[in-house]
Amino acid sequence: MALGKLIQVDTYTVSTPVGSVILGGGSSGSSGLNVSIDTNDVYMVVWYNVHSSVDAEFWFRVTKSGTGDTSANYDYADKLFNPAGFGRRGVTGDTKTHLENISLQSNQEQGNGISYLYNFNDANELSYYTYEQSNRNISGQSSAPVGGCVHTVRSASDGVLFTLSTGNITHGTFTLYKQV
Amino acid sequence: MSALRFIKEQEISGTTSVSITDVFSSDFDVYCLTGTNISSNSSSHDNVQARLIDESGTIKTSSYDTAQQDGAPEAAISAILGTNASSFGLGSFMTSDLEPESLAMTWWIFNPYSTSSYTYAYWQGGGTLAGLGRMRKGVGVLKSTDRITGFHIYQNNTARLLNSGHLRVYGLSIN
Amino acid sequence: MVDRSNEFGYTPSSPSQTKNNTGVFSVGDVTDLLSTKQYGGSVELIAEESYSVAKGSIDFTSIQEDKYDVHMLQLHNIDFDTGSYNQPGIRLFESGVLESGGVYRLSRQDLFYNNTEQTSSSTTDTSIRLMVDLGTATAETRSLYVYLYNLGNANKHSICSFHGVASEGTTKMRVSYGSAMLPQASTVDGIRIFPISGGNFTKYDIKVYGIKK
Repeated sequence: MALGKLIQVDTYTVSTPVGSVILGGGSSGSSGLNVSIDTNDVYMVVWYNVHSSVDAEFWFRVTKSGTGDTSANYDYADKLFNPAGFGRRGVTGDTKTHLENISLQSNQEQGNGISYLYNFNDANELSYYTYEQSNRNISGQSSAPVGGCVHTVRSASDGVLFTLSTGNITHGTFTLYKQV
Repeated sequence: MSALRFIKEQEISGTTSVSITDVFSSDFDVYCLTGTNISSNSSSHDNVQARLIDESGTIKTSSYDTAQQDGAPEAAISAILGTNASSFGLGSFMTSDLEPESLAMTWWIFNPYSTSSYTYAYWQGGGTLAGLGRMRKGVGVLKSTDRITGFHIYQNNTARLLNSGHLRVYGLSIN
Repeated sequence: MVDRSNEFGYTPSSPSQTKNNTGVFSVGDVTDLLSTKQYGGSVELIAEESYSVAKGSIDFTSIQEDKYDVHMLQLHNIDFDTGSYNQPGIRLFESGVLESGGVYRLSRQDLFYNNTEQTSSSTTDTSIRLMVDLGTATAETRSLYVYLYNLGNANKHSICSFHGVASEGTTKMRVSYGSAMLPQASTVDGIRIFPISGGNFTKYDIKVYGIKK
């Protein structure tokens, strides 16, 4: 009998405002479980109900030895799904993946999404990830960048970090799974 | 224990619309819904739309914002947009046609049961129709904090019936 | 099914119980829960293969198409030895016979690092073209997920959707997503993954899952 193969690795739900959330990343992880992305499996990250204390950009980074990598090595491309009209981005040399612009829970402006992580545990490969989202941005618009990113340095990544351009994350649940 | 948990299945058999009810609860915040092997009884293809159902059993018919890409193998990709619409958009559950032409979709749905959040979703799928095909990828939100407990699909033309296939709902567990 | 709900461990929250929860599943408990699809999770691994030697195609021919309406593939870290504008493709086996005719349909969106895009559309492809070609740089890999639907239903067409990321070297990334169809009423009982422009795989880790129905 084949048992289910989507296994939870780490999770964190924001209960008091925080500057960032780390899933995996060993002892730097927000959950305190001291787990890492440490196998060659495909991993899946899910986030939802993410709000900020002020209007802010919502960012995604990879972690290297538990620290969010802020080097200018994120290249990403996506289609912006928006009822007001589609947009597009192609960005090279960014210091993060800019997922969305979010805001207060009272404004119902939040982020939700799923990302698949590839090659994270391989020190000889680039870390890749897809992202698909459904959000409401600081303009009150349904909005969702859908695409993918490559971290352009051949090195292992042991986790992911969510943060904001300013302010704190006030709400949200973030969970890391591996697909074995 | 694996994280994707089966909740409920709804077989489709000879109806203009199909509801799968009592699937969203406090047990999960994120759900996966699949639609497979879905065909209609008519050789005139028809768009299938998606809506949500609240805890009183009311199908929500307003306040959807949506953006979709409609990809035609014989043409280019076009946009289907909607603001304060009556559903997640035209063809948000693809387009149905007579068997063997069929459609399949995967939806991810966020926060349906929460009364402090809108319900968000994204979807992707495809189908064959009229001897051709279609890709559909979309994003949407129901701008209501009503507690949502079910999912509903319907055809534009009520004279045509969805007569085969399944809807299945899974919850993504977080422990 | 005998109601043993007062025995099971509930997460995330427990109901009000009048008896102690043992948190232990007996063999009978497991059997009962399996019968209602409530045990073991819904993502089941069917097959997997990782690179060991170069090969020109990878076939999965025991995909339990009678058991699953939805198959999910994870194509992880794919690379080829023929680097000139190559990409991974899928062909499907229908009752054991590989379909390689110009019958596949495709609608695909490609997005690039330099903020450009293109679409790929076809009604006469000889395979499902999953990603935009990469060029000739070394170490070009692709990773993507693929959903395949309706494979085991002989009365329906088979449908595919996919989403992935690739990079030509370290400077030219791209994203592809889309859907494809095999518009033939047939039982699909196998999947072939191969480099469309020829050559051999030099890297891959591929897993085939079924989403339990």
